[in-house]
Amino acid sequence: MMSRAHGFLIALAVLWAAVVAGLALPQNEIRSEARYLQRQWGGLGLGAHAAAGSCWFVFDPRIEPYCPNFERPFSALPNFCPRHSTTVSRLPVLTADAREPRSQVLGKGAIETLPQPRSE
Amino acid sequence: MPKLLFLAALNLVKNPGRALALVLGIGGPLFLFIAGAAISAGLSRDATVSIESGADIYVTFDRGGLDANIPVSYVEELSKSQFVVEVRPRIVARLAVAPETWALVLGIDPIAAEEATGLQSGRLFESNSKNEVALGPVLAQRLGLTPGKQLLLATAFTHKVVTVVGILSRKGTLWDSAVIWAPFAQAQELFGMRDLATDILIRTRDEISATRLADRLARSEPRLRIQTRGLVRRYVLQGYGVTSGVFSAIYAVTFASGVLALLVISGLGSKERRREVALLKALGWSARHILVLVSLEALLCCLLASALSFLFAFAWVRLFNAPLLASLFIAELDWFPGIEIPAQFDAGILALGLGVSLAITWAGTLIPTWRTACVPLRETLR
Amino acid sequence: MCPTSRNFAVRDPIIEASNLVKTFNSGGPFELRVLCGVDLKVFPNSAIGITGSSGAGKTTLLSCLSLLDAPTSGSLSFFGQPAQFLTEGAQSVLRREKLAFIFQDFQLFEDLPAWLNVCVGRFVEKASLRQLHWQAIETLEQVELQARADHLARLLSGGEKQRLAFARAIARAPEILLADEPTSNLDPDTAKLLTSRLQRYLEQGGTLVAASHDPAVISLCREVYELSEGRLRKATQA
Repeated sequence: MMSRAHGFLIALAVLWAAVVAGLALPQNEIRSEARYLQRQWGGLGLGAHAAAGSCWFVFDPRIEPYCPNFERPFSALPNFCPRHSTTVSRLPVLTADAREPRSQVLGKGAIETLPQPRSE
Repeated sequence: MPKLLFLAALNLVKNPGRALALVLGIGGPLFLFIAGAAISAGLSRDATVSIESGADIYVTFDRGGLDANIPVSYVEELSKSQFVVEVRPRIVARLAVAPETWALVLGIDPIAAEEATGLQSGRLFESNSKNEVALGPVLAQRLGLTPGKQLLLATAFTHKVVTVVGILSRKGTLWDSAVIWAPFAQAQELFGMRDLATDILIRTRDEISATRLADRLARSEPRLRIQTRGLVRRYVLQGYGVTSGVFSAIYAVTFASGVLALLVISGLGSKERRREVALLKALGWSARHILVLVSLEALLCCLLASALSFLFAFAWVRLFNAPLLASLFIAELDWFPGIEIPAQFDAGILALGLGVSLAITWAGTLIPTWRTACVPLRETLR
Repeated sequence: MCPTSRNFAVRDPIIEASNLVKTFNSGGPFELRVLCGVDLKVFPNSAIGITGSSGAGKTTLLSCLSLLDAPTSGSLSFFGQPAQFLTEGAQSVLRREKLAFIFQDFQLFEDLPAWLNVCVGRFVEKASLRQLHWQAIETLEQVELQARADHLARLLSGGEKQRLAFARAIARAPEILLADEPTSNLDPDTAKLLTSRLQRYLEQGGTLVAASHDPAVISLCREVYELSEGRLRKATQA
């Protein structure tokens, strides 16, 4: 019984040594492939979404800065789309201080109607 | 203290069933927490690559708060600015390539000067190529395509057969997995976007130039949506931080209720346990000594559970690429992901997991122990 | 603070109980008054035997005298200090350094080895584990249980458990030993062994309060009381 208790403590120490070794392994390396492709594409993808299947915003808010499900079905209450709720990243709307308020833009009446290929 | 530590270890060893239930009860959720947090940290790291390797400014049109396509003529106009080093138009769109299989079509010309290191097989197409594309690894695997094979791309505007000339590396980022990378002109043709791009990417001399240019553009052309690298960096990294915090908080609450229920069920408040506490008091232990012993038992349990869950999470994610697990945290991913899952395990995650489990276990054990220690001993020993 | 740190005269009683009352289920429909005003003084190096029929309240009285249970009313003092003024820490010190109790139902740690049962009470002291181990083995030798030192308590026979409980009690050389039926589960030879050990304990200056039906144990006591209807009556003066 005594040896089992000592064995337990030794096993615990060994496990923690393995944990420390695991933490000491290099993890921060950024692969050259990733750098190359992102440079080629000018940056693509930011959120926890693999294929932009249904929500551009979660995939990359640079491409679509807004998720329409944010305000539906109850306005003023956040109601995330399923893509939000399954992910570990919730990205912010990027446009808050990057441009003039939307109402002002709309007020100028200079909006062009252009095709939206993304929902092809 | 060493004697108490020894006795705490002995108490765990002599009740292996109870110890195992506790370790599994703590370690199971902790495994998910550590894996999820590591994947989140890995994604955040890859997002940094995406931001830093990306453009300094993204310009597109704004239509009622949503993005709209921008005329390619802006490329020439923007190139004239003294702050600008390079301007590239891009098309990003989505396309169904098979039933329930979506591909992300990316139309942008490659930078020829760079050596193509991001390919797993085949070669990269030329900018003037009319029907050549490179595919993301997961998409290629799902469609069974290899270099040399052909693929039909059909949109409302046209349909065309393209040849796969290269497969992207599996060691890129998560977002490469389902990409169809085509030259810009080819994507324009495919989506009927003559003279249009979804966004224009600008590289400037430096960050200050980018800010100045963004300000100037915003003032001169209100129809444009302008996003600078600084803005993206600030919001995205803050978003990841907030998300990790919310994730951790929600997890801690769920974890707490689970473990506390487990502590009750697993019998830390059982009659036998209460008898042991009372007997130790009868033998001259003070309540403080008993609380130290129980704390040490909980500490050993949590240390064991957190070490095991860290090692399992590490092996599961780093060695086996997080099968069955990554798709819980990343949308649109298969149960067995065909791409390397980004993950970053750091001591902070482990310390947080250990701290939360300790706090919960201590709360769940010390309070009943204290209450037992305050009851007249004969009552408990009877 | 340990109660004995006060100025305590050698011939003052170690334990003094006055008008001790213990009621179970007080105020309830099945109220049971076990002790109805017990007075008792336990002097140093005395040996007190308590007899009485089953259910008379012997165990309850010993529990109150050893701070395992709190009396419903009455006063109780240890080394001249009222029990109600003893802090939880002081009570622990008292139990650890001065008092020892032999339970009728042994109250062992069933999943610990015998030697650890003997010394587990002393784990909070400064002695090393190795020292405690050897002292425990020596104590087990006194009750002829050294061969069973590494056996789990639950694997021992009833008689062996009784000897182990005895060894645990005397391991710390307590000033006062409260024994609840210390020989009730033993065969005649082992009962004789434990009686002789109790005798030796008394010869070495110990104080004994024993509740027992065993004439051999009672014969060791200079004062014998009978507990009947919740009251203590002197039976014999040795």
